[in-house]
Amino acid sequence: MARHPIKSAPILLGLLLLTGCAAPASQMLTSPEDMLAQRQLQTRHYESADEERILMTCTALLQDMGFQIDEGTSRLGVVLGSKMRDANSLTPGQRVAVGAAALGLLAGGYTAPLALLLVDKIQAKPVRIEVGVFTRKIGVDGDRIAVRIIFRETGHTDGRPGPPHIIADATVYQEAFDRLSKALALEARES
Amino acid sequence: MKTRFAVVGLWISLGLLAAGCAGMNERVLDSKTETLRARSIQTRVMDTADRERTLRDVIATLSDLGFWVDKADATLGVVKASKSGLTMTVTVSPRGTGQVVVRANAQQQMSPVEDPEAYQRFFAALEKAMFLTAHQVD
Repeated sequence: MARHPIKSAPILLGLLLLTGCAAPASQMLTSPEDMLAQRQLQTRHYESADEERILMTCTALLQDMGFQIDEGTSRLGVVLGSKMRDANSLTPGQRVAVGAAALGLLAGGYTAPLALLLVDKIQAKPVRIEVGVFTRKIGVDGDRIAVRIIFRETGHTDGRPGPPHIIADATVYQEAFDRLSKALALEARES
Repeated sequence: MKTRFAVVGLWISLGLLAAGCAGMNERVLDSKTETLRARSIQTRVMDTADRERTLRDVIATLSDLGFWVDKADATLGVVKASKSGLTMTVTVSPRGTGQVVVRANAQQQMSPVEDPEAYQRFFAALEKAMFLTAHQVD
């Protein structure tokens, strides 16, 4: 017996939604248009032949930034780290003030819905931040080292991680490389 | 009549049990995958003896493609990376004195990636990073 077209519609819609969730693997393995720009943003070159020393400086820098070191493979020039942080920028004092204002709005009766907005402002927004540092020798004589740093962020809602995304904010990378340059210069002066 | 129902029930149960076994083998061992075909689309031979450099190029290529490197092991020659539900494991092993074999296998959500184009695109990006031509494995 043929199913009525209208009865089939929700099933078809469900199937379409399921298939539409993930991009095909071939598309995900295609070089993105902004590939070079991303690489430039994430990479700096340093005048040194000592890759191991640079990797150790990077590891110390990650610790300075509060990262836990999860993985390190010096033979391949790889260091991976991660940390949990609160994306809510309000200080504890500001949160108490916002909480008091929310109570006031709640007591006002018709202003209660506005209190809900404020409650959202004082809630912690946990995020997992991960970092990958990749070094390699470049140049004909291998006397320069390319350092690539990639940051990734994953938001958590109700204790469950959301989709991770690569941080594209240029100022984050600029500051990270500035700090690395300073640490390398300081080390060169001390040695 | 009751005996007939019992026999039919028994056959159905046995059928379901057998189907369960096949499902388990398929799930655990991917027994329905054509091994030779999968190996052929997932493998390339590169004309370089430098295994570590190849592994570094694999890491750079995956980073360029927006993947997050989860693991890298120089001794085993393995790099594992992921991107929005797509996971890739790439291994680099020596072949003779002047070549390495690069094998990539991908998994998307709960299924293995069997689309040859996906692997072609990955190897095309890797070739560019290595300035080498990848050969289909013999």
